[in-house]
Amino acid sequence: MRFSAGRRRPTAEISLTPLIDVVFILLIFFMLASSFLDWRAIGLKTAKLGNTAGAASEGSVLVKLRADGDYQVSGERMNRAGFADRLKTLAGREPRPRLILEAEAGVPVQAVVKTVDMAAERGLTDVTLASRSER
Amino acid sequence: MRLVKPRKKPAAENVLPLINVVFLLLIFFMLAGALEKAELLEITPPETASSGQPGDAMAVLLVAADGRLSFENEILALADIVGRLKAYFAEHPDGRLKLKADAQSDAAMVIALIEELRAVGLKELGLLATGAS
Repeated sequence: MRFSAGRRRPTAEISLTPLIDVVFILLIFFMLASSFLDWRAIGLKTAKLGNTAGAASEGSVLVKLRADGDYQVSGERMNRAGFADRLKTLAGREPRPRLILEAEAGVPVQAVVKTVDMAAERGLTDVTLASRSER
Repeated sequence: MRLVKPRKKPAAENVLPLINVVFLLLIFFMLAGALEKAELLEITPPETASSGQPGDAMAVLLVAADGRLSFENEILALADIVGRLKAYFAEHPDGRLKLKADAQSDAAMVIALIEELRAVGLKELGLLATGAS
C-alpha cells in the first residue's frame, strides 16, 4: 500500500521546487527594489532681496536663518523657542504677515523646511524664500 | 533503497505553507512598494510635517549634499544647468519642476538656484520631502 501511494505522488512534487525558487527570487527583487518613502511636496515661492530695500516692505517680516541655528527676526536674534513664540504673535496679527525667509551660507535645506513647517503649523502659510541679489 | 521515498512526503507537505507565505509577501511588496528609477546622486530628502502631494510626470532636478546637480540622468555644472532648464521650459511652458534637494545641501545655494531658474521660465516649484518618521 505504501508503495503504490509513493509512486503516484512524486510527479506532482517535482514541479514545486523550481516554482519556489522563482518566487523567492521575485520576492527578493521586489523587497530590494521597491521603496516605501512617503513623498511630500512643498510649494516654494522665491524672491530676490534688494540690497537697500531690506525687510520692511509692507506687511512682511524678514526671518534670517543663521548658520549657528539661531533665528534673526527683523534684526533681533533669538533661539528656536523664542522664534516659535514670535511666530505665534505674528500669526495673531491682522492681516497675517508674509514671512520672508533668508538663509545664511551653510544653513541646510532641512532647517529651511523645518522653519516653513513651523510657520505653517501656526497659520502663516505665506512664506517666501529670498536670496541676496549680490550673487 | 525503496524505503527512502516515503520520507520525502512530509517535506513536500511542509513546503506548501511556506509557498503561501512567500506568495503573500511577494504580492505585498509588488503592490505596496513603488519601484523607482535609480538616480545618479544619492540624496537624503528633508523631513516635513506638511502634507502636500507631489504631482506626477514632472521633471526632477537633483541637488546633492555636496552641491552637485543632476537633471534628466546627467550630472551638470551650475553654469550648464540654467541653460539646460531653459531649453526644458521652452518645451514645457507650464514651468513646473520638482526639486529633490538633500537635507544637508546648502539652502542659500538652492534658493539662489531657484531664483535663477525663475528667470528662465520656472513657474511652479515643489520641493520634495518625506513625511516625518
